[in-house]
Amino acid sequence: MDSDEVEQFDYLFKIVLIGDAGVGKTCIVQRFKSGLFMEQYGSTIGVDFTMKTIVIDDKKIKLQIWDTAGQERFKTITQSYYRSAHAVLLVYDITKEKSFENIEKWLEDVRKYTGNNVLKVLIGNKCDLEQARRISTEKAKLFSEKYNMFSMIEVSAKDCCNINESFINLTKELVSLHSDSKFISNDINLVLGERERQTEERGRYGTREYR
Amino acid sequence: MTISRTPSPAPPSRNSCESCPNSPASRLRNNYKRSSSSPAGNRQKRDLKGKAILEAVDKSDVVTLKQLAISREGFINNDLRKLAWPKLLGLSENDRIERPSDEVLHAHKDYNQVVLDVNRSVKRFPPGMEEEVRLSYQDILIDVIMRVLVNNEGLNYYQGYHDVCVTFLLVVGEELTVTLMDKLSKSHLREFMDVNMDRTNHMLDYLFPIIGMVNSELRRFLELSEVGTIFALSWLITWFGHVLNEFSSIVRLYDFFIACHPLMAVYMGAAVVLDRKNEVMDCQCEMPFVHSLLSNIPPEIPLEKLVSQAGLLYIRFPPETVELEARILLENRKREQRERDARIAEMKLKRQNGSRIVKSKSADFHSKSDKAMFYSVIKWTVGGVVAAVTVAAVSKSFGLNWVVW
Ligand SMILES: Nc1nc2c(ncn2[C@@H]2O[C@H](COP(=O)(O)OP(=O)(O)OP(=O)(O)O)[C@@H](O)[C@H]2O)c(=O)[nH]1
Ligand SMILES: [Mg+2]
Repeated sequence: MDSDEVEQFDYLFKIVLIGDAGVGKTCIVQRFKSGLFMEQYGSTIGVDFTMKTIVIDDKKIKLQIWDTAGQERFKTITQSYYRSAHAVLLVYDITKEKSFENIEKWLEDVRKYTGNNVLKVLIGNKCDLEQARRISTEKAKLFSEKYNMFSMIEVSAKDCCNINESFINLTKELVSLHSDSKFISNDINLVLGERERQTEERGRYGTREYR
Repeated sequence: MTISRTPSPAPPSRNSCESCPNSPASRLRNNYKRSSSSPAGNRQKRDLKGKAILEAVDKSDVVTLKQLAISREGFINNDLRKLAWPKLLGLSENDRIERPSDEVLHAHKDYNQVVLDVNRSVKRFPPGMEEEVRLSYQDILIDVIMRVLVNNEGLNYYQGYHDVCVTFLLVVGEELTVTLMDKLSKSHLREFMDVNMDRTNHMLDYLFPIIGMVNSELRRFLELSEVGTIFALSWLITWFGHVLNEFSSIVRLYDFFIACHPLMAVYMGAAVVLDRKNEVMDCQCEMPFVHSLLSNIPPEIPLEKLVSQAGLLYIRFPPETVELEARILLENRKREQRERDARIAEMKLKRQNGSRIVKSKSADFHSKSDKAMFYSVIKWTVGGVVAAVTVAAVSKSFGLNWVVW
């Protein structure tokens, strides 16, 4: 939390996690962020923000991670956070059929509220609960291909299985996609010129960053 | 079983940040100067206030109870809260809600969501509580929530409702929690329990205008950062129960909110943001940074000072005076949404080449739901008797009693 240190980085990407309530979005983010698994984060109300810097091939990459609330009624609120996302992680629970079926609905929202070239990753969480599995890996794989997703991966926030890998693979892909433009705005809603004006006005304010 | 902790008095405000001499903060500073607070003196005042609370409970004197709830330290301790909260809400001992069968409770559409949230609510129980005790509390919590929901067809559960319920459960126990929550769900929490969050969102539309009336630069900064008001969502719908760590702070705020207008939690939010204005303005003017700064409330916020500032904000800028600006924000959001919908529809149209009917239908739907929403919002801002009483209660507590006590 050192606020005076002006951080240098090569890339900045915005990643959003969506999916039904209870599939483990918060646990995944916290596992990635701090390496810990705690059952007591509590439900997410609205949107939580986390920042994590990783280094890949000597490149310093900053990830802005938005962890959204899964309950249906929060959708209208969380949707405004999809815009300008570079990647969306669609999370389901491999032991809950419903959470997988709903991915289709979540995808519909992604189509509506993000830019065209947003990277989509399908994540099946809780793969430590093999005996309770309801969704086969093959089924999810086929689904992800059908919907043109970048990848499908099964993870466990509890056992820390594949968590770092999924973020790192995703980030590598983002880097290669955006290797010629460093500060990419993926914002479909901005009128040209407006951003320049706003950036200028914003520049008058402080430089402290909070995480 | 009751878990009773005495709240610690708030630290005196040393560095209030409002510079204007007539600002709420500076008035408050003077009040603090006048009330010297030695520990012994405080104990005496607390005893006196406790007596006043008991007396008002005996007489079912709701107006006095409101003042006592609002003024410093509210109802002081949880034994008093157990007596005062039901009275404050006009409940009598005979108000009991029968428990339906397990089948009925478990068949409710929100049952699974409730279980999911209660299972994750460990953090809301006292750290020292034994696991077995906690688990049985969690079972009761599910029961309590389901009973209220089943008793009120048409109310929808929201994530965060359990945060409110657990607060009551830990203070007043199972049966009283059911009756208290039943009442609150039809009054203060009603907007949050709609099918959707439109009215809740509109309540948050009051936040920036209130802030702007005190400090227009801060409002400009917040709007420029595009932070939105979602950082304050859990403050509003859980009455800060989701974000504050100190249980004693949470129950103290509950005293305050039960006694006041449903929008008071938004005024409180404004007071919190205004209090941190230097920190905010130092922050990089970008949504992520402002969002994470504001959504984490520091553990040692000057609670009593903020409560009184929220009350003063309410008196200076009552909801009727903020309504117009809030409505403009609502209209802006609606317009943006319509524009976005239109863009999406256009894209779809291009793809599919057809169906104009769908478009006109959805436009029609918009205007209807708008009207319904305005109607209900107007109802609770002008809200007749209740609003008047609350204004009176708030004015008294902040104008005079605050200085004395
Ligand atoms: N067995 C197992 N349980 C998990 C795993 N990840 C999360 N959980 C459990 O699932 C529950 C829900 O996890 P959260 O991370 O809170 O779910 P969420 O998707 O953030 O839910 P919302 O915030 O309500 O949208 C937690 O209480 C965890 O105990 C996992 O990998 N394995
Ligand atoms: Mg979550």
